[in-house]
Amino acid sequence: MRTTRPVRVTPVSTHTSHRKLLTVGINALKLLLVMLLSTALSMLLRALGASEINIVMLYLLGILLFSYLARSYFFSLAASLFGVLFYNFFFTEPLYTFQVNSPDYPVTFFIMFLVGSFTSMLTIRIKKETLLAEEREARIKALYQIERLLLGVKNSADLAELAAGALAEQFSSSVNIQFFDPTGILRSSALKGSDVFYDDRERLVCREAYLSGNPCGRGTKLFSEAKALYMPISSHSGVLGVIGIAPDAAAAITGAQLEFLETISAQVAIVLERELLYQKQEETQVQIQHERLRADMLRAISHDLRTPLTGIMGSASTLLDNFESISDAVKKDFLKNICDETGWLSDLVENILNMTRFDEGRVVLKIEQEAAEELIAGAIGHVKKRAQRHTIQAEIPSEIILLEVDGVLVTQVLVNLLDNALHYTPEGSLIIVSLKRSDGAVIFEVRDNGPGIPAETLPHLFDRVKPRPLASDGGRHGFGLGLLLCKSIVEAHGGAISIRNIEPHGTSVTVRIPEKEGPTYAASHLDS
Amino acid sequence: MQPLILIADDEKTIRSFLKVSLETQDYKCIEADCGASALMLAASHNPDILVLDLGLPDMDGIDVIKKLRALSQLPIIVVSARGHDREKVEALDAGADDYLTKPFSVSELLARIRVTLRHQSGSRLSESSGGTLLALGDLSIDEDKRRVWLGGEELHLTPNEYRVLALLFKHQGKVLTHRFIIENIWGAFASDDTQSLRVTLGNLRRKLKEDPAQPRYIITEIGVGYRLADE
Repeated sequence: MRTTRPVRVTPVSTHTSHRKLLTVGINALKLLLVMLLSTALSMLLRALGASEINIVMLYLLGILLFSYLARSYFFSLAASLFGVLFYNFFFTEPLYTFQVNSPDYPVTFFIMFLVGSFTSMLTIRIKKETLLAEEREARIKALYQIERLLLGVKNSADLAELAAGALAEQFSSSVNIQFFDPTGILRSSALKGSDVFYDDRERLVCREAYLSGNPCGRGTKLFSEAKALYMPISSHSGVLGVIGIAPDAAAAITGAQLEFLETISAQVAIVLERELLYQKQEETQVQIQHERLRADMLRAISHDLRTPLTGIMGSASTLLDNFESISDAVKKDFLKNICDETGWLSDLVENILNMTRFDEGRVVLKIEQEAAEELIAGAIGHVKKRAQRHTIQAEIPSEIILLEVDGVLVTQVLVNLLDNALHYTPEGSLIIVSLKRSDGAVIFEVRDNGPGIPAETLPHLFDRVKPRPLASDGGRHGFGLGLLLCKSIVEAHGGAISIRNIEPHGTSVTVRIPEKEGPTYAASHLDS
Repeated sequence: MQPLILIADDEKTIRSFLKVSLETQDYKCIEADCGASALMLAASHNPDILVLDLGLPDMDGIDVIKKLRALSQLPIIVVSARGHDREKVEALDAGADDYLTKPFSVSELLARIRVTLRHQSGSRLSESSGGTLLALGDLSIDEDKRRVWLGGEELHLTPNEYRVLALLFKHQGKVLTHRFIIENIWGAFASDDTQSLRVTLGNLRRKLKEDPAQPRYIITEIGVGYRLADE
């Protein structure tokens, strides 16, 4: 899955000469110290009567020790040379000169030099390899840890945060990670350290890395003057994001670090892709669910439609067929039935229309400031004609409660609730619509003193499809759709709806709509 | 003389039952099935009221209203489908006199026609006579002295409350859009300030001792505006 690209990184050398000079100075000092120490110890050994061979050994030990510390081939050669010279000067006859009496000594010097050089070089190599191995191990360990962390992330925001944290720690740099969706819009991002990534210039370089799929910025051939290095996160479906790294110090980014970065980037790409796939799968799942719900709703609607249509059709055809033989009173009764049923149908169609708009996510709430009491008055006005045999009362507080809602839809909620109360309570029942404010919300309550809702139906009222029409339906039309719509509308306003039975008998539906912060007005003058 | 009513609707069933019910109420009827013929008949027959469906096939109902308003003050009652509230408000702001929402009952339409006809003759009257003493139920208003009584007791209204009430009285029975009221009371630049309107109306309702479940005087048309009860 990972596509490898040639990384064009040129070693940066401009800032390092100063540091190199310092290292040389320190090494020279160390060399001098080791030589002086070896000489001093050798003089002590000589005074104690040790043989010359031990003195040679002591110098060799010093050279070895120094090479181990200095880790420089040049300096270990120098150490070998100085070792020979010091030995020659201090310990061979004639003392304190560079001359020798015995012809053996040049051979000794030569062998001493060779032994010193070889052993120190071997030491250095071992030392360097150990260091490398340690570094590699640390990197692999870090990589392993990061990978394990990455595999456990839940979403792209977490992923960005985690990867940025890991990289920032690994590189001791500022890190910025950005993920883009396929249309190039920023999906999530994370920043660790300073925000050098956010000026126009850096954005441009980052954009270039995203569009070209090649590393850009500091240390590369493209935009090498940028403050950060930008590494694209590539997968086979394209570039998914960009990792920006801006080391705090002037240090270069080493090849090993780059490799590390590439590995992490590939790993991030895999996780990202996995997440995208997962999302797609989930969307499909939702789609399927949606289709199923739609089919269920259609069934419910057909049922709800058929009942009043049967009544209308029956009444009308009876009238038509037996026009002469039935009395005027019966005719009038039939016609009234037809009128009632069509009124019901018309409301049902209104609900269906609103419901489908909600289902398709097409509802745009027309939010305006409304006076809550006006919504209640409007709803009561709407159902009043059907409520001749019920008593409807409104309990309105003295303060004027304004709220930001879609007035027509909220009125629809109240109309549906009132309709339910009218349908499911016997004639003569009392229905009370009340309004109050309670911790940051406006609360509408529609309650009746009817028989209440059977306990077994209560939990299923908001289910989209009920196994059967309600038991208490009594031949009347189901009210599932109306309540469902109420729920959708209330939730679209960030509110909640709940139903409970009340004592001694009756039903209470509470609609709670959160208030936007804003002043409320006591019932007093506002004119100026 | 029988008032002449022009019905513009593309549904034949609706036209025919409207015609029948209007004729039983002693109105004369002519029918148009599209916007163009409605405009033509309005010009040639000079009807007293136009009942206009906003969903005509050939032109936008709002355009029909604008074209008519350029020519005459012919009262227009628009009929629109439920849920098209914006359209309704637009029509009213464009110069329509009243509206009905489909499906509507014939008795509702007849009530609106009565109000519109009376208003038409009334507005001609009040223009000549100026301020008068008006009454609705227990509520009466003296436009000369700017005083209001409810059941014999004088109400103390703020200037804006009085002006809103007087405006509603002036257009009794007719729905006034929020924008219309705001522009008339607070001025054209305040047309977004529905808050003052809501609060003023709320206070007014309380002073009129309205029963929210059964308002006697001020009727709220959600999403559209307010209307003073007809009788």
